[in-house]
Amino acid sequence: MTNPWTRRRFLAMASAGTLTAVARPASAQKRTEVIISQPADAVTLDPGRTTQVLTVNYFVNLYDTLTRWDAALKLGPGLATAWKSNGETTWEVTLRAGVKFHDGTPLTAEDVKAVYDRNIAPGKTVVTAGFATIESVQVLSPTSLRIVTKKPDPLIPVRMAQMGGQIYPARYATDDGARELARKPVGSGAYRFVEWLKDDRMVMDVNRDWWGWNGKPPSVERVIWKPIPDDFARLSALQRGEVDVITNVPPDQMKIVRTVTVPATRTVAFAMNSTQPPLADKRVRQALHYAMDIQSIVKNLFAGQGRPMSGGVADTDFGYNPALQAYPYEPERAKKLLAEAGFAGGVDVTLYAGSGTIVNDKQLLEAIADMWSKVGIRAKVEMMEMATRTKMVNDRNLPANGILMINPQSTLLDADGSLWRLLHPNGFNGKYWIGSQPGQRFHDLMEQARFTLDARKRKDLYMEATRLIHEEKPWLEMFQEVVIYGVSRKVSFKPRPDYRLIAAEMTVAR
Amino acid sequence: MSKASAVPLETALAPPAPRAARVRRIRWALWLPAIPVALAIVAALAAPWLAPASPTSGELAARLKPPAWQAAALAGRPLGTDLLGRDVLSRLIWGARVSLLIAVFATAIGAAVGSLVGLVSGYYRGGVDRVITKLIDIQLAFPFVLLAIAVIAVAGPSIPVLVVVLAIGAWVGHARIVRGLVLSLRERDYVQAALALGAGTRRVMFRHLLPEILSVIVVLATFDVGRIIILESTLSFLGLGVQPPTPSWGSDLRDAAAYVRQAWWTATFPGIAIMIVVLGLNLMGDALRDLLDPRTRRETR
Repeated sequence: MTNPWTRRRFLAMASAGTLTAVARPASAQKRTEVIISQPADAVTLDPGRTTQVLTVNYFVNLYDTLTRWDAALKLGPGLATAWKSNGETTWEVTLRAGVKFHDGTPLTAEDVKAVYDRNIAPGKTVVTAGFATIESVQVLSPTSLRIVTKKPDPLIPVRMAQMGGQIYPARYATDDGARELARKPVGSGAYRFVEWLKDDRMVMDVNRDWWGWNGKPPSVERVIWKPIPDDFARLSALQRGEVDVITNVPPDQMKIVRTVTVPATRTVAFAMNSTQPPLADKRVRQALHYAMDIQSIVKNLFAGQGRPMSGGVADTDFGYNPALQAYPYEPERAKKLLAEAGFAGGVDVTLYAGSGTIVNDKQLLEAIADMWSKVGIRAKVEMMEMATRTKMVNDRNLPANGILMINPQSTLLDADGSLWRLLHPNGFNGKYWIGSQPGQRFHDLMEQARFTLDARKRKDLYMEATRLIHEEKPWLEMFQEVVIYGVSRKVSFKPRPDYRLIAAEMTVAR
Repeated sequence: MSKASAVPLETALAPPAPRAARVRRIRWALWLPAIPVALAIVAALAAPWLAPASPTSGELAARLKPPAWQAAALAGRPLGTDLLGRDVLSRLIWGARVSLLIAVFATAIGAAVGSLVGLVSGYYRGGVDRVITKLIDIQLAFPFVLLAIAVIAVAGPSIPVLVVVLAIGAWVGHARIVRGLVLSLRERDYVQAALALGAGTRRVMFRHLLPEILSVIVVLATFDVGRIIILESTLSFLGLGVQPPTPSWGSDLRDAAAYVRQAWWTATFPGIAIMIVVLGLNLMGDALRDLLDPRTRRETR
């Protein structure tokens, strides 16, 4: 193993010495670049074909959406400069004038319509579900269009920023066009595509005409994506200075590199089958929480990277209820609750997880089982192959005393996209909790919120719904995850809670 | 055989050493490797009294503490703590129980079934033999780990399932060897004589053939126990073996693998345990073979 410092010192000495005169003019011409390493390469460059989080990071640099989330997760204008609802089922959207695609053609309302039509059409893309509330898109002029929804949908401005909402020229919205787009993307984003060697590297150069620079010169002139699957290899590449930014850093290994972190929109929870005993009793479900020292788990197993939570909604999402705190660790109270529920002799449950759901998942399950054993909750731990887990989720056959790890994240940054996506009667957990059935308070609150345009009213509905989750605990609620990046000294950026890596938000030292 | 060629010619040609001397020599070869095996058996039997702490319960805050001779060690945790703050020594002791239990039972089932099948196949010959031989060939052609994954995926991972899966992997070896031996033994005069005197099939199989090949089965089984400990570790390593929090050497090794750089003791001790016990069993198998079957020893020279 060579010592990285030796080479770095040598370079430092060389540049400080007589070579300076020669080196300077060359470096002045050289572009500033950032090399980013994720565990996997892009699976496609067609935004209609995947919502996989690592690949979406390529999309957000190449393409624009009508609206977009800024670094503080505030929704702002993107290709659309204004949007307004008539209060019912139509939204009028005004597009930014003078925007050009990377190939020089102008971006018009026709392009937006073509992309949205493709997303709405069944079977053409994998993002159809997010566009399902849209009835049609009508072009009013080259810079304005109308979106008609099937029912009043307050989330249309948010949906315009979601996955699949990236705009490309209309000619790519056909089957043949999409195949071309998947290899050689044309967008209007801050960076334009240069070359892609699958599983080796992808190069993107800055688009100086991008509307979003707002007169400021871009700091990063070239972005190179270099996938490295192995965690250890990726960490070493950063240590050696071969890459500038790495994703998916395991918390226990954080100390060996320079990191930046931010609370993520993703949470860790466990779905449970609360339709049959013993978990059908609310007191038993509460006892599970009181018997679990979540603070110690986060501190010791996840190096403090995580925020214990309650109410089912991440603090980044609309519908988060700041009044709700995770249950404290009170084993005596747990024992009492079990006894009151008629289970003084303890209960038997099984903790399930797909291997690789999150870092340290097996240890997490074992730690919980160990803590529970101290109050008489006998938990078996069963780690499953991901395929077995997917089958359990798709077939909806969580066993009677089963507790399965899930990882909810709302791409709408709204409780509708996580809590109601999963607990809805058609969602994975809908079947397992009486409260999510029609006629029940939680069900009715969530359905009402879905079609309520008034933000304040929606918020009130969500506050009551999250209080019900906090009290009823249809999920075993754990913590909100933390996004961890490893970063070299030459790059700085503010990490985003939604896992997006946006080069236009980075600055790099020359 | 480099060992054989190193022996001076006179010695090699000399008549075999007197039986007593040879037995003495073999005895050392048998008892020395038996020490780690005996230790493991004692640990397995007396685990509740020997283990200083609970093998399944730990303190998260005391996770990854080093062994006693290092600075940050924790009192009462002589070999340090694991990823969840459990005592490594206690898990090692209890792990011996689980690992040996599985290996011994799987070997016993495999040896019993395999020997019986081999006995039947070699005794009846003809069509029965052809069918059984084909079955054995099919089983041998099938990758064992793939088979294990399939069975465990359907039946779910548990210790009884694991024992059955490992027995499936073990019976073939016994069946093949026993069949071969029985094929030749059946032609021996004493067997033919018994048959001529009207002895029944069962009597010939279990009174005349089985005792003659029992020593081979014992030797084979000794090797098998070692092999199965390794196989069980492999399956546990793939997450198909013993399920947490039950300690087993293989699953502990797997869990610790990712932490080797930060906490070497978590992976090293289960690894050493597997190594010396399996080595001990293999050397014992060698010695037993020499002791029970002096002919093989001379023939291999």
